[in-house]
Amino acid sequence: MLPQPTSDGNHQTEHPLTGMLNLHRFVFCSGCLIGTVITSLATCLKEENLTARDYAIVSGIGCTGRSSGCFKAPAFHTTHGRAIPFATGLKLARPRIKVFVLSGDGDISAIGGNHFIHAARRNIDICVICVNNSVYGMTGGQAAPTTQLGDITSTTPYGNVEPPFNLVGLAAASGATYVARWPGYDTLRLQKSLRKAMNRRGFSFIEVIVPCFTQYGRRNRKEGSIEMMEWLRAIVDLRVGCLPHEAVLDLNSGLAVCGEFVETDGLGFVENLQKLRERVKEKGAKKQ
Amino acid sequence: MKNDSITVEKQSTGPVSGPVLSTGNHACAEGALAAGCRFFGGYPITPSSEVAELMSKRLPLVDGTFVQMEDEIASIVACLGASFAGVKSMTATSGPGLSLMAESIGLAVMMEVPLVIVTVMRGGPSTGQPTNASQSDVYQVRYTSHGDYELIVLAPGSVQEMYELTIRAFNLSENYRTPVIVAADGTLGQMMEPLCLKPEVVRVERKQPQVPPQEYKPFQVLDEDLVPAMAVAGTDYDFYATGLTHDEMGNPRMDPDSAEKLITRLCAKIRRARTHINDWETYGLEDAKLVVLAYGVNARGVREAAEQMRAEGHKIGMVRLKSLWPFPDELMDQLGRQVQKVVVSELNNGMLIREVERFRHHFNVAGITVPTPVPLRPSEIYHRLLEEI
Amino acid sequence: MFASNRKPILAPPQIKKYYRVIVDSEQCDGCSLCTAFCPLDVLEIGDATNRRMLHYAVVANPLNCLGCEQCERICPTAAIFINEVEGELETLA
Repeated sequence: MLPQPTSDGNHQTEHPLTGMLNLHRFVFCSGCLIGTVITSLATCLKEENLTARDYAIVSGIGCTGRSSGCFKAPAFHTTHGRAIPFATGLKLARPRIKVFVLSGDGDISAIGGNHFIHAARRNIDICVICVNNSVYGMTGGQAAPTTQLGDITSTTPYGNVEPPFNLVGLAAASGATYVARWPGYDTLRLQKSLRKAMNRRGFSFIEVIVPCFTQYGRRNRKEGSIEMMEWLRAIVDLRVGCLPHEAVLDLNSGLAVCGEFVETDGLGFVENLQKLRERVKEKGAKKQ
Repeated sequence: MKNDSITVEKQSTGPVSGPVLSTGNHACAEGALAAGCRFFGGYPITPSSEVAELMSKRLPLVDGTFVQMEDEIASIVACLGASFAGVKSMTATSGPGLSLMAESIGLAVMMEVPLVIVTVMRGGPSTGQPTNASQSDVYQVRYTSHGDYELIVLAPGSVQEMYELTIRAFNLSENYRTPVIVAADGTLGQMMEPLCLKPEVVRVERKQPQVPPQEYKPFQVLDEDLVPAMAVAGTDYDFYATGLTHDEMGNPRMDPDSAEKLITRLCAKIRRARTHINDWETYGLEDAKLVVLAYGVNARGVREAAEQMRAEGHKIGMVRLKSLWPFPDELMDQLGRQVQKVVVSELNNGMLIREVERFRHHFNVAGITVPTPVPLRPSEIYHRLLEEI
Repeated sequence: MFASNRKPILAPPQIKKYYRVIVDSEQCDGCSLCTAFCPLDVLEIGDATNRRMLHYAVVANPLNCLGCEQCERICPTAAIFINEVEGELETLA
């Protein structure tokens, strides 16, 4: 309940993001920064004066998969791993709207891996925000391609022996034209990055490190939300000009390189296709 | 089932000359373009690749979008996205590709997305015989996804029907907000026949919301046809479309009542419309005591055999199905009133015949079912039919 | 835990402003990120519970608030926000 307005009159009585968000759909664990990523994105959208007709949010399956419904916009909760091709179809059919994919590390890099690399290769003009919690949280804490070496998860009870993906390196190698990684608590830098991503052409990839204290923390560090954030803050190394394949994310050894890794400009897929249409139609007109 | 907010109107498709020689696959693509399809997301697979190839040539000329995606799953999901942006979309594949699309068909049903999927059936299982035909995907086209749902499947029998039934598929998908499958086969897709393009085509457009965005409920049904109005991205409407069981606002609901209510409505939406959806062609039914049931390219051999037998005085009739699902129970009841035996002929080990056998209380059922990849010769069918009389 | 020891070196602004912190007690789930991120001990988790039986954040020291908006930015459920109000600065009683 909001407190009653007092005598001075010049103030808001409801949260500034009320018009952008469906507040009843925040179903995340208490203290999970997925909600923070959502509010950061909503803040940026509001600052740009974007309404329901200007953007769409697509998510896959998982904890982060529930985030699309939090937005008062066309919001799509698709099947596991398929948020990116859905977003591709949406964007190509209606290029005017800004399309965001908000999904988790397992959804994007495991089952959705193929779609991820091809979307980056095509340079399709969407912004993919990958919430990386190193685990499959919603389903009980199974290992993901981003699970760190040695971690205990429900499917690696003796410790994970698979090396994890460097999603920043993967995105950059596939052809993404904007790649960044931020810790989940750094809302200022995340918002600045989002503003950049939503106003540029081409494929943007923003990885956000959000520790999962419920599944991963319980099994490995035995800590809560704030303790894990303190731990993350100690190992985050903000760098400028770091190369994507050197963007180490090794939570156990204690290094999480964050920052912007790729920022190039070039024709996005939407413009590419439009140029194709113009060229083809001109050729057809010349023939007649 | 008409409703004020579903638009049905004749549109001009541009100047056409006389009949052209066309393959079935090309005719299908022409039908899609005539129906207003402006998005094609595809992946090559024999024997349907030509559908994609013609769409890749023609869509840029009409400001449409052709994109070859990285696999079949991406293809159908991109079509779902495009459909939610308000653009009529299609993908084309064959048996192995449709297997990959299974989960996404379920998503299309749950989100109630208009979508056309063309499957040009080939020899299976697995890689099978890519360059040969088959009718062994009868159950796959209906039941490939998990869960309780209904699906519309049309079965063209000629190149002309590849054109016309694709147009029909688009109209049905827009009318009922559902994916529709056009089940052709490899022979039909590759063979060439005269095709008459239509100068004018009836196009159905999906039901539009009649209330402002604040009052709009994405899955609320206000009409007898059980079809909710569809808002699309890029308008002032906000909505939540999820594959989870949901209520009329789109909120995910995990209680048993919500599941029962939603599944019942989704199935009833199609079942109620079966007399509108189902379609078949009859021959010699007036005095027939034995009727042969066939579909697709195999029906041609059956027709020739039936004609020969009728010329010899046998009281034989034929029904060629132009839609496979929902299965035409009403046709079976109609046949039950006059016919003593139904012979089902199909190019598989016995699939549609199992649906017909549900009506054993009406008539005897026999089958000319051969899992062969080429249409049966009329003489073969003729001799088998003689045994059945 | 995230609080800083740094103090501003410039004189406070001449236009008197104060910041009202507003918490939506039903939307708050008591995760206490705001209390951890607040540099000036404005917030704490109170004894009262909301309809969901959760303890929610309350404004313990409203006059400390400098309007940094860390709480508003970090809150995962959009349950807390700052109003910037111009007017007379209330003195401590």
